[in-house]
Amino acid sequence: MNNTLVFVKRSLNLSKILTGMGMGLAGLGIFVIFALSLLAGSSSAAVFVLPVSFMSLGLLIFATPVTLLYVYDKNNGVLEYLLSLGWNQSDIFKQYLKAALFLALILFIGEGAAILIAGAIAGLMAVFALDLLMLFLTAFMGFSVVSLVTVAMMAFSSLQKQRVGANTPLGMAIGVPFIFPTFYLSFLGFSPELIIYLLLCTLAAALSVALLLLSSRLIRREKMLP
Amino acid sequence: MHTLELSDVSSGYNRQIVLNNISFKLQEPSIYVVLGPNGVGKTTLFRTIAGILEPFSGNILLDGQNITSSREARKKLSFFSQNAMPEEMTVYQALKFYSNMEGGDPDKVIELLDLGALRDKRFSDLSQGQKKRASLAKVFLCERDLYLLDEPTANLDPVVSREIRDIILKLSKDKMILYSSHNLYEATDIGTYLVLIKNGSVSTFDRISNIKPKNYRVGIKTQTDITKIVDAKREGDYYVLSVSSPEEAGLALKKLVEKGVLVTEVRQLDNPLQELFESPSTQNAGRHEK
Repeated sequence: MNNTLVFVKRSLNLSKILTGMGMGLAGLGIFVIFALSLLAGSSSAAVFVLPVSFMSLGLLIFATPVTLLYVYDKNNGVLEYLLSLGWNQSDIFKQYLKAALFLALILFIGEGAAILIAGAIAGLMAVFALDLLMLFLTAFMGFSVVSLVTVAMMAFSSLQKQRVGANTPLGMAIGVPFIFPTFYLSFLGFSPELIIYLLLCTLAAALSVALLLLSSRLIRREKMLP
Repeated sequence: MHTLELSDVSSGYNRQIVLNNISFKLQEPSIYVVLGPNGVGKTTLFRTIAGILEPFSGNILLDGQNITSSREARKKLSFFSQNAMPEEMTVYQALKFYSNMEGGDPDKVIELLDLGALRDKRFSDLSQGQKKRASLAKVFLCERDLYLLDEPTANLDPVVSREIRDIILKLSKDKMILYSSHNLYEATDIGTYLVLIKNGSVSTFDRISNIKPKNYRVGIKTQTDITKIVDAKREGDYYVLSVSSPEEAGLALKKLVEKGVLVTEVRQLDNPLQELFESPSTQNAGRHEK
């Protein structure tokens, strides 16, 4: 089995509650979209970010077990052994990041299929186009924040001494603030709403890439030891 | 012929120096026992040689390649410290997990370490000794030139310890093995060379057979009271002779035989490494800021 799939499977086994919560939030977003689709013409652009926020948060929660797995592997010496095999900090971060993005992708495919079915049931091209835009925004926000939270969580996990689940808050505290403003954006007008949303996504993506690229310099190997 | 050379290596954690200007060279297949009390830096030494910790200064060359910068060099060694196994997996799955990354055949090492009965058990369900044995198996997945084994037999029962030592002894015929232990008898039993660490530096690097204690305590078992014949004291089942050389013990024994004493057992009571291990400076090993 491919390494990434092994890490994905191990993450899913680690926290079924987070997996369920992620699916629940995604389901809530899909329900709102479905309701908007049924209302067809009245689905104002001012509220279309609301389901996107739910679905993005769903992707984040669904991928969170990977960060738990990282702390778990650090504590039981797996990371130390990977370092002895010739991996460096960046290799390790990338492996866990790939697993987190893969998990998010699984849920995103589910979200996409459900939304397109909802659009097809409504049968309106205008709604279908809006659905595609929402999917695009969900992917942009969701994958950016998943990357940021995963990398930040790994980079700063040594700052938290508690084991496994108790280590979640720091990474989440960095990533979730990117999603929460989008709930309020629903009450703004269309244009600034979209621009602010895209800026937030870009910022999250840029931060995660920067952290990943700097990981070998910023994060010493000893931070990965049990 | 493989070589490992450490030149003025200083290493530690954050800014704390644990190892200070360590230098030694391994240039023949053998077991090199690393001795030193807790906290002296044995694990730090192993982690630094394995490339896990980057040394503050100095070079570590394996066959001329710098371990810190060369991934190829790090692939020539295997490191065993703690269990380091995904606890939620079975023994086979965990070994498969590592064999996907570094190669090797899990079934082969399961057979080598006689893990057949544990093969499909979850790692988290194993006893401490079983965990140690199962996790040690991953070290042997691939053939390496240098093995770094940090207390591989700690927490194991004597039978399993013996089996593992036999595997390591066999391996040492053509591989270099750095082996740390707290057990002085195990060290003299398995080791050819001694690397003694004191105050974060190597204080002794020599063949174990060259290490001679200043005083020998020889235990003699006999039914006869020999205290009037030789200068011995009764301690438990033995009459104990304190001598300065093995030759002196031989002369005392000859005297007993000449007097018609029936000696049923003669043994050296202290380990030759004990004096080195217990010297005061060993106990004062400390850490200091870089």
